Amino acid sequence: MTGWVSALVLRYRSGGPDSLTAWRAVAVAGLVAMLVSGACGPVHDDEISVYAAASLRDAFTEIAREFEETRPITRVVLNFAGSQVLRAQIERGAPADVFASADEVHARELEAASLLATSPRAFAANALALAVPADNPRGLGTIEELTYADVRLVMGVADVPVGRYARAALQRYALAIGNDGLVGAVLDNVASFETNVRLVAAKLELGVVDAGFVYRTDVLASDGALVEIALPPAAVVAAPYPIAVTQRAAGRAAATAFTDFVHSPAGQRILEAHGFQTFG
Amino acid sequence: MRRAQTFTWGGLVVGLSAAILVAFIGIPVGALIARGFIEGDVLEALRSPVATTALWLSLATSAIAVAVAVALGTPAAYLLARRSFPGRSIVDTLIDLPVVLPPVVGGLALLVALGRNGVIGGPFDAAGVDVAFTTGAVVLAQLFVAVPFYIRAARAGFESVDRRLEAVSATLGAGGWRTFRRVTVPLALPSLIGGAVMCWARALGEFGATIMFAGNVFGRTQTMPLAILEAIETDVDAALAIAIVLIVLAFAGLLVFKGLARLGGRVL
Repeated sequence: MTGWVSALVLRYRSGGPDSLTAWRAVAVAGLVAMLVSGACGPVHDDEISVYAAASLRDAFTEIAREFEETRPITRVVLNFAGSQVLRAQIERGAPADVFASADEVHARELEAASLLATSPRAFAANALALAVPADNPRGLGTIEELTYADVRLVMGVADVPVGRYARAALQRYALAIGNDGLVGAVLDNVASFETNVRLVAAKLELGVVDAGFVYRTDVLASDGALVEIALPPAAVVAAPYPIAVTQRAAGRAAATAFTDFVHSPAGQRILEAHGFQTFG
Repeated sequence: MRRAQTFTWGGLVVGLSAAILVAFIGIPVGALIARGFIEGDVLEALRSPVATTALWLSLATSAIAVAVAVALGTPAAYLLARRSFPGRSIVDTLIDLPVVLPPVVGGLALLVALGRNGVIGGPFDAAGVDVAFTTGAVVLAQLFVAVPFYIRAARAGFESVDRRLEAVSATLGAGGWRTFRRVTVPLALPSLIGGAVMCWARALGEFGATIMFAGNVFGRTQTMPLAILEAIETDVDAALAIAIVLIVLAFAGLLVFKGLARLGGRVL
């Protein structure tokens, strides 16, 4: 952007006498250029944008740092949000080079829309967790107790992976125990539906709700602020995390190198340290 | 001649600056409306339960928030305009604070105080009353961020009332309340209405404090701004359509009430 402005300045300078009007025009042009280009920083020669599920924040921040150490020419820019938000952004042409989703649905949809250059491949798995604030104000211990009238829950919206996994877990459990009304009764107690798991965890950590569905990695990351209530086997759902290079980054060495690093022993070790299950 | 030219330059600068500003606000809003009509189906969005439910919830909660703001804000504005008391500048600054705070911080503060484990929320919870994550919480969030707009305007209105007129009213035997009702309020009315309108507009558009403190539940706390955000994340055309409804509503509301404020000023 700076280059842009100076080019304009030079053009005006060489164009004729240094009149006040010309300078005014330059000032206006500069201002317009600044407004138009917005907050664009200097573009790194080998920069990749990694769009990753909100639950990957801690692990991928560390992975990106180690990756940059092994590959100093590359800079990794991270964008975290609910996987459904990232998918929608990529569908609308967002400059993502790598997409790491918290479920297979959103990765599959992008692949079906020909927006991925490589087939999504699972690099880790997470576990859905029923979590309560450490002091467990309502003394909750079972899924059935989530339906009690004075219990306030927090959950993901239906589109965000953690919300989808939670609904799937409840449905499976309701089927297993033959209680048709269970899912509806639990959903009736939800005080807020959040668009990513970190927002669910934040409300739990604030202690303003009694329980919520997050991932085991969030319970670990809370440093004891959250406690996990073991889900019955019938309510356990698999939560695989796939990663892929996007179509716009097809053939870009840095993007492939990043996904390779995530699958590598070094990447897998970081994921394990943050509570993910790996396939090593 | 020279004088006229200087005047023209000045006029040009003033006109140009105004035009840039109008374009700066008008073009994005216009572009959004155009895009919404081309790509989305506004009428269908208006019929969708997500939009209609959010619309009514927004109208109801913002109306209640303004009513409370006027009821509690008018005495506060009067005190700030007319009385000096210890800590006045602190109170004045505190009332302005929600304007500066990111709304989500306001929502967080409300949640910390009024949540189940908060200083105020705790006793309520013990009594079996939920404050956070209810429709009432939506109103409280709107009130928190919007009430400064009313108090600001009302205070300026009271300050502009000639105190001699109040003194005359008193010498004619009118008591304090009667003078306030018959002299002060009518004279300050345009400011009071104008402040209430800005307060309503701010409440209608409230997002950050609401999603933090009241949460996002369809039919209970999902106002139009929240419905728009959730739609943006999945179906941007539906989001555009709901946004257009909000824009038209806000624009019409502002226009009507501003006319009302002018009328109030002229009649009295």
